[in-house]
Parts: sequence; C-alpha cells; structure tokens
Amino acid sequence: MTAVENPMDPAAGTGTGDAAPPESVTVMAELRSHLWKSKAGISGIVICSLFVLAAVAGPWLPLIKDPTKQSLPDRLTPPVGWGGTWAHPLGTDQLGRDILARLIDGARISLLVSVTAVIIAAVLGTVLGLVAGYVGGKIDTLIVSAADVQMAFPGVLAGLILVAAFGPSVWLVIIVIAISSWMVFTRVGRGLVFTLKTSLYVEASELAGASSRRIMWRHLLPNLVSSLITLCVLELAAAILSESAFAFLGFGVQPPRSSWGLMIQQGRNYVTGDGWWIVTFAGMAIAIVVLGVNLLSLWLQSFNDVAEREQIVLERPGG
Amino acid sequence: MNQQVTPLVESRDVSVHFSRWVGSRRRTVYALDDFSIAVAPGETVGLVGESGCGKSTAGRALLGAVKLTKGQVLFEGKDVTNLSRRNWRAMRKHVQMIFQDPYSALNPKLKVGESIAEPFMVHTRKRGKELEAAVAELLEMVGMTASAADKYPHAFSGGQRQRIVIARALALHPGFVVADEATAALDVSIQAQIVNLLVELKESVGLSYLFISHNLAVVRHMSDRVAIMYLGHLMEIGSHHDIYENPTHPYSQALLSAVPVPDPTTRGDHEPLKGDLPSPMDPPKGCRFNTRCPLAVEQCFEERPPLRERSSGHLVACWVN
Amino acid sequence: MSATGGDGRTERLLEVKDLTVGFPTRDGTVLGVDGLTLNVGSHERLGVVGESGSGKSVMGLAILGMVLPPGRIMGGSVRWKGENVLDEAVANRVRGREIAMIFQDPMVSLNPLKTVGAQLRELLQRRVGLEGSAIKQRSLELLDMVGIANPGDRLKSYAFELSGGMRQRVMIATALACDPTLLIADEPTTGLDVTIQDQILTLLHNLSTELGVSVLMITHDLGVVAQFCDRVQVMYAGRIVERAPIAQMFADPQHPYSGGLLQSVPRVDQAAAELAGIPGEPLDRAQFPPGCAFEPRCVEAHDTCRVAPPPLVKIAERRWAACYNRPGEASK
Repeated sequence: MTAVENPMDPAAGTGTGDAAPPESVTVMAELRSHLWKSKAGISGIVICSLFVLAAVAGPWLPLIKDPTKQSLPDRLTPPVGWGGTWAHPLGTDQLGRDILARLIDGARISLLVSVTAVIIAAVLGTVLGLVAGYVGGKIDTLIVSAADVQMAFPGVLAGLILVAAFGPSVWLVIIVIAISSWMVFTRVGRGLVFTLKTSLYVEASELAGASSRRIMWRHLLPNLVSSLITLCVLELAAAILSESAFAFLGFGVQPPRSSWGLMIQQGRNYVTGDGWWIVTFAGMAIAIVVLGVNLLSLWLQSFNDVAEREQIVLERPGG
Repeated sequence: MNQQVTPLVESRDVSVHFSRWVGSRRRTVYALDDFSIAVAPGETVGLVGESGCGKSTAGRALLGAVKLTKGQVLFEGKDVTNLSRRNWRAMRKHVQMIFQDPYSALNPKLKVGESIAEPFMVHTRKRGKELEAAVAELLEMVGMTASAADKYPHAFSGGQRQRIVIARALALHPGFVVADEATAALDVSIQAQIVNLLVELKESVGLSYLFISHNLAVVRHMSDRVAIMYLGHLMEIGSHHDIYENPTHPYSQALLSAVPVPDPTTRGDHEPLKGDLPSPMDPPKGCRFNTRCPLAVEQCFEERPPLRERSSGHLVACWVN
Repeated sequence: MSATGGDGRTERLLEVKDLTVGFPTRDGTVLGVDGLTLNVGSHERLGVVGESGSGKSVMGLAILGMVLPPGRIMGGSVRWKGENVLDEAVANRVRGREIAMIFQDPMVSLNPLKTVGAQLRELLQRRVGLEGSAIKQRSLELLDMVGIANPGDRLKSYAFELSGGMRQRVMIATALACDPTLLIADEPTTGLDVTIQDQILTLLHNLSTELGVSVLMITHDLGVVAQFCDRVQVMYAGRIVERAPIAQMFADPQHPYSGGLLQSVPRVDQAAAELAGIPGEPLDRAQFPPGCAFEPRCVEAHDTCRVAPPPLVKIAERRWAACYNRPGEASK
C-alpha cells in the first residue's frame, strides 16, 4: 500500500488538528495561564494597567480636579494623614494645584512620549537591523557603524543641541529619545536575523525566487516579533525615565502642563521644608511605573523562553 | 547514458572552493573539484558519499545557489552559469529543492497554505480562490487533506511536514528537483512513505531528481544512475547495476560493504575501512582516497586519477582498479 | 515471567520487570515506558529497536535509575544480579562500574575542558582506585583496546580536536575503564558516517566477544540490529511488541509492526522492490487509544484491539509478541 493512496488526515494523525482553536486564541490562553503562575507578571500587568488607565481616563474620573487650577490659599497643603484633607488626598504644590491631578496629567505626558518614542525607535531600528542582517556587506558595515556612533553619543547632549536649535517641546523629546534608542533594536534584530537567515525556510524561499524584500517581510520579521516586543517593553521603561529627566531639565513639556520630571524640578526647593510630598509622590510614580514595566518585560521574556522550550519539546519527540 | 539526448541539467568541471575562518586563520575549503554530471529528463541520479564529500554543495551548484569557483552549469543545453540575478529568478520555476530537515524548512509563523502559495505569489498572478484551489490540489497530490492549508507547521509531524515541503517544491511544476537527504531525518516507516511518494510523483508529474543521500540503500531504491563522491571528487559513476552489482572503485566497494544489511543471514567477516575522513580543508594530494585505500600504489599519491570509462556509462577514477 | 534470555548456558544479569516511566504534561501523565519487561543474560547482545518516541532511550536511562525530571519511575523493578538498582545506594555502586553506558553524542559525555588523558585519569583514580604509573599504563591500554593509533598523543588531546568516530572510541574507552559486565549503548553509531559506523560496530562486537561484556544496543537501525545482536525486542509507544532471537525476527516477524518495519527498509544488497511502509503516523503520546497503540496503523486490526492493550505473551519457544492475532501458547 502506498502513502498516496492512503491520504492521512493530519488531524486524525496528531489529534492537534481540527479541534484546536486558531493559534492566536491558544497563544492568548497560554499567556493567561502562564500569567497566573507568575506574581511578578501579575504585579507588572496591574501596575501598567493602572498607569495606562490613569493616563487615558484620568481627566474623566470623578473627584479628579483640574491639574492647572491654582489656588494660593491652599498652597502646600499636606496629604491626608499628615494634616491634609480628602479635598486634596496627596496634598497640593507651591501654587495650590492638586498633586493627584497633576500626577495623572503627568502620566498622560509620560505615556504619550515614551510609547511614541519607542514605536518610532522600534520601527526604525528593526528595519535597519533586518536590512543589515539580511543584506550584509557594505550596507551592514554602514548601519552597524552608525549604531556604534549613536551608542557612544550621549542622549542628553543631543537633547541640548536640539533644544538650543528649536526651543523646548514634547515632540523634540520624543525625537531625542527615539534617536537615542533605535540602535538597540538594530543590534538585537540584526543578531537574530543572522541566525534566522541560515534556516532552511529562508533558503527555500530564496530558491523559489522570492525577492529580498519579501523574505525580510514575510519570513524574517514575523520571527523577530516576539523577541522585539519584549525589548520594546524594556525600552519603554528607559523612555519613561528619559522623559522625566528631560522634563526635569526643562527640555520637554512646559508649565502649566505637568510631567513627573517637571514636578520634581518644581518641588525640589520644598523637599527639606514644608513640601516634601511634591517630590516624593512624583518620584514614587516614576519608580513604581518603571518597576511595573520592567516586571512586565521580565515576565514576557520568561514566557517567550517557556513557549519556545515547549515548542521544541512538542515538536521533536525524543526516542 | 544517453549522450544523444540533451541533458536537462548538466555541470561541467565545476569547482567550489570557499574560505572559512578557523581560529585566527583563513583557510580554503575544497568542497567540490571538477565535478561533471548530467541528469537526463525523467532520470533520477543518486549522489552518495559521507560527510564532507561535497554532495550538498554539488546539488546547490546545479541550482545556482552557490558561487562557482570554476566550471559551467547548463540547463537544457543553455549555459546558465553567468545568468543575472533576475534571470536566475525566472529559472527557479524549473529547478527546485527538497531539504533534509522538515522542521526548519517551513516558516513556523506562516500557515502551511501560505508557505505553499509562495511560489505562486512570486511567479504567477494567481490570487484568491484560484490560489486556494492550486494549494489544495498540491496538498492532495502529496497525500494530505486540503484543510491542512489553514494550520501552522507545528501541528504536523516530520513526515507530514516533508510532504508539505514537497508540495511547495512542486508548486510550479519544475522539471528538476534536488532532494538533499530528503528522508534522512525521518523514521523508517515514514521514510518509506516519502520514498514511495517521490517515486510516484516522478512518474505522475514527470520529474528528474538529483537524489543526494548518505543512505546507499535508499539511493539504490530510488536511482537510475548513481554517483559516488569522496572529499569533493567524483570517484565512480554508473548505472544502478554497475554500482551495486559491480562496484569498481575501492572506495565504492568499501562503502557498500560497510552498510549494515537488515538481514542477519548476510553476516560475515569483512575488514572495515581503516582511518578517518581527511578534512576538506586539507585534502590529500593525488587521489583523495589514498590515505585509506588498501590498494594504493605510488601513483595514487602523486596524480589525481581521471574518470575513465570502463563500460558504457560506467566511469571510475582509479589508477589500480 | 520466564526467562527469555540466552540459551540455558547464560547467567541472567539484568532483569527489568513492569518498568513504567511517566512524564507529567498539560494533558496529564504520559507514559514514556509502559510496563516494560526485559532480561539480559551474560555474554549476550540484546537489541532494542524502535522509532522516535518509542521510549527506547528513556528505557535505557531508567534502567540505571536515571530519568530526566519531571519524568519519574512510576512502577516496576530493575534487578542487577538480584539487587534492586532503583535503590540509590545500589545504583551508585553499579552505575558506571558494572553497568556502563555510551550515548549517541560523545560530546555530551566528554568534558570539553579536560584532555582525554585527564578524564581517564580521574576515572581510574576515583572509580578503580589506581595510582601512580598504573594509571598511565591503563589509559594507554584502554585507548589501544578501542583501536586508537598513537594513544600517547591522544591522551593530550581535547574532545573537540577529535573526529566523531575517534570521540566515540574515547567514550567506549571510558566506559570500559571499570571493566563493566554490561554496556548500554544508546544509538552509538547514529550520526557517524557509514564507514566509521562500520568501524565502531566491529569494535563493539570484538570487545564484547573478547571481554565477555553483554551489550544492550538501543537503536533505530534494523541493519545494526541484524548485524550486531543475538536477540531483539521491538518497541512501539513505550511497550515491547515483539521479542525474538535475531534470525527468527528477520525471517518471520510476528507482530504487524515489526513486519511493517522490516518491509519499510530498503536493502543495499537487493534490487528495489516497492517499499511497503506503514500507513499513518506515530501517535501523539497524549492521544493513545485505550487499546493497542498500533491499532490505528494496523492492517490486521479488529474490534478486540480497540479495547485494551494486548499483553506480551509467549507464542513459541523463545518468541513473544503483544498482538491479539498471535495467541499465546497457553491458549492454543
């Protein structure tokens, strides 16, 4: 009997076929079940969700005041527990503005700046990494040299130069952060491409006559995504810190809008005296969000590893 | 054989050398030297040898997938050695490859249907329903159900993946297929299915194969003609009968007697070939088999023996036998 | 269970009974080895043949009480000359000394940072208790025994400097260092070139004859079994489906799976007839049917086969099979 006369239903063969839901659903289910087992993962998700929620829905939440409304009689009201009232749960700043409202407003800026900057850096960096890794040769040398130069160039200095040239703005901060982190994606992407491009499916595609663009887009990029997403989250934490630093230096968002970095800058004169809470809450917000994002990326990384390991075990049953 | 018929694919004196860093030194790997072979339409040529003998390089050379140091590759009598990148791309419709490792040969992030559809996307205008139908037809041709197209490779076993790889290779009806250790990674019961499938497809679709393998038994089963390689040199080439019933080169003889036959009644004393395979970075002068050959004479260490015809179509490169 | 090993002259060395090894997975516990029974006699070469996923390698490790976590031995007994090897103390005494093991990839077993000589020295000091010049003497003797030319030079080599065949010889030398009575060889020639495989098999054959070492040869290659072993057991899905002396197995296989395997292998010494093959694919371990695991691929299957796995029964003198279509001697 020959195999061709005996078409086997692959589903009947492995049992993983017809009954299995589409891959995206199983991956989500896997992700969820893996998440419940990880305390760090849960903490990361919770912190990040609160952050995003505050940033997106903040102004519409009840009891949240206008972050720019000044009220000099209420200036430097301490938080609840230190003689303050629930009117200003976290107290007020030197101009009588509600700290909680300003933190939430600052979250919007943080999120906007960091996410936009990381997306720009990731897209730019990944494309360059793909091209450098796959095409190789002189183009590779050129891109790698550019990345090395960028690595050695301090981001703050770049920021200073641009602010001197164009004046401070949020968009400038986004661009500065993006150009000081694209090379991370380039380096990681290029390294992965070096391994992936020796795989037989890339050779098969080349032998089928596929163009370089097609191979990079269809075969290499999809296999980079999971690693690069983890990297994005990690870079997000760095971007949040950078944004705060730039705001602190006065390069970014301008008063009366608020930003965590700006709050620290404005509150630093009151740290030792009668306004310790301004710096403290802004600093805590930064620390907690950066911690949360790092936890999330750590967990994503471990999930990727486990998924890959299981994949290998499932695919290659040993003797 | 059939020198009158224009071979489908032919290589003439092809050499492939490349350099590789070993520690801090750059060394030349002599992967393939003066390799000449012709595959006639509808013929299966088996290419056998041990690791480092250059058989995979030879297969890739015929597909224009490696840079030749010297020599020519002809397709249907036309020299394609120096074709431009664009023209080689058009050639891809006619020549294809099946790989050893079906796990690495399919992109894990693409559905099976998408992988099989790729040749159509690159070379034809088939899209949508028409493309789906073509993919389904290919899947059925290799003994799978059409529903496999919507699944990802991880849902399939090694044998099923190899069927998918074959379907992709045959998508555009190539005349010539290089099968590089196509069954080496499979279990015997699955290997038999794939071998049978390849034989059937050869008849039904009209294919020529270059069947590269270290497995002499599978090659015997598959091939019309067989070529035996050692360290980048062709040692002996002849019909299936010439090689298996009347092996003439001492290496061919040693290789054949080294294969364990799955039949205890064939047990007998034979002297295993001595020594290790030399490195292709440092091949011996003269006949490359001279370090292990029980018959080697002085001439074998000085001059490379040419391939000489012993009987019609049976060529042997040996000074002694 | 009566003896199947040897022919009366031999002493029974290894007795494995109902060995079961389980691996916890998301879909419940999967049995890698399921109720396996096996005996090896002295001066015997027993082959265990099976395809990937048949559990043959798991079995080889489990015999020495070594199962990779999270897998664990769930039942059964392993006795070495009557002693329980699953007992840690006994295992430590026997493992690497009376029973040695060699694997497919010697790089895994050889220390990449130490020379061949250093590894042999350590072994001979610790396990055999040799001292001084006796160590060097014995090391050279061992390398010579496994057919390594210039053993003096090779003692100074690192594993990565050696060819695949040479590494396998070194691994055999380390296995022989303690004068084992049984050598478990797990795919020792897989991945080697044909001519090198031939050398290694010949070496193992000569050593087992000259030194009187029994060999348990675990392999997927029916050719290796046919040329090397006295007796063979065929495994499928963690169970033994057939056991027979070598000549009978190849002349007249009783289990449909053994028969299918034999008809799947092309032969280098005979002109091509069509390969019969076995239809279908090996099952996913989590999806085993309640009955015979081979039933979905079996041409002879009937309703009884779907109810419970057939037991391994004696069907003739020295022949055993686990198939409802091959009733045992008792029920004939």
